[in-house]
Amino acid sequence: MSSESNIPFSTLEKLFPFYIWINSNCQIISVGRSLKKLLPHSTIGINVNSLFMKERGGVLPIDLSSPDLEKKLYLLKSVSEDLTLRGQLIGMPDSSFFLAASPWVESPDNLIALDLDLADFAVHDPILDLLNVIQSERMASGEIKALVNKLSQQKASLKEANHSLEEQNRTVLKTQQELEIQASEARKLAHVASRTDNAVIITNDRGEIEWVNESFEKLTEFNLNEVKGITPGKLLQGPETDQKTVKTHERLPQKP
Amino acid sequence: MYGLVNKAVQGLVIENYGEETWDQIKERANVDVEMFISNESYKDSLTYDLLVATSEIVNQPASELLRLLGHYWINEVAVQHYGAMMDAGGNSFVEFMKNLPNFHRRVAMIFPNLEPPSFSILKEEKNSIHLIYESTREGLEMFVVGILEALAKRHKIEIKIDQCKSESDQPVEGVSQRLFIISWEPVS
Repeated sequence: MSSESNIPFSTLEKLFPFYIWINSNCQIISVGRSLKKLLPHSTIGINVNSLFMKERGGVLPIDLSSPDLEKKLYLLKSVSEDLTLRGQLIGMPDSSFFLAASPWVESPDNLIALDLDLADFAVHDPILDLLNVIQSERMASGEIKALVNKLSQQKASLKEANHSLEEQNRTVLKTQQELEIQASEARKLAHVASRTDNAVIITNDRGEIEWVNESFEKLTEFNLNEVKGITPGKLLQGPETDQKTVKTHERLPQKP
Repeated sequence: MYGLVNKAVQGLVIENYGEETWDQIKERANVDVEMFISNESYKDSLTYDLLVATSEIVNQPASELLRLLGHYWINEVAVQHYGAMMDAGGNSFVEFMKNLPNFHRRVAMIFPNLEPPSFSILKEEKNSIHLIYESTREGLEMFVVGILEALAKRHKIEIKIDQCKSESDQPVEGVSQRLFIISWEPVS
């Protein structure tokens, strides 16, 4: 007898704790310790095809006469539990068959739902590594979502800031237009003041001359540079000025 | 270290001291990263700089900060990202600690630059274990203490931890070793 056929069944169970061992009539001889937890009702003697239905793309019924029996990936969905087993069927020397299987879990949450913990799996089982990959992918996708949210918030803030800037821009434009209108009015007034035949004096709030028109220069024979900064009274009053008129003028209300 | 650790430092600071303090810490540590990516590997020095700046700004000894980071690591980071795996990791504190090395090995397969610490149980008694902690990084023992405390609490026990340094007290081939003697009261 070859050394392979001498592997104790307990060793196979350690390697495949979710195994299903069936006879040539598809009747279950025994199941692994971890599968017993998932299918607690006595399954010994039951036809394996009655416990499972076909999973998408799965292979059922298990046809033990199929020539490529050992090359198929079996996906077996439990009829009673939310459980899918994936595994490989191999013929044993005594004409029985051994399904080396493991539960297909798409998320670590499935472990909790199935009431399984890490000790229920064989250490080599890549399902546990797959769960870690899934977990890591979830984390990455959660971060992408958080990043997208952050970007959306920043976009909304920028939009708001832009809106506020546009508002301010409109106000500035309006003020500029008003100033242009005022400036145009002032230019018109200045034109009138410079072209009138009457003498025009513009003083500051201290009464000092800032500007005079041409008529003033003709009438008084003073030019602007000579009179700038001098009060009109000082400039235009002489020894022959009537003091009564001056007093009357001083009593006149001043324009604010 | 992977971004997940830096995110944990960020989360701990923001939860306890607010966003403004975190911005100050980043500025003090010269860290100009808008958002850490968990699966991305960052220089260890960045994490240490953040921890030093945090300790200075929030005026808390680094050892206490690391311990709190350990609690945060288990209660927030691990539960949020590895919740189901944490639950499946073992029915008791000791069971969980026994499964931890395998978990670290599996995670290391996915993250090629990960250098996880190593934990091994040297001696197991009814209400105590002797745990050997080995790491290529120095100064994170209090982080481990915080992690162990939070893990124990998750499994409904309060533990007492005594630390013993290895005989040489010097890293051997870049790996420093520490023995933790962990004991707890019998669960009634």
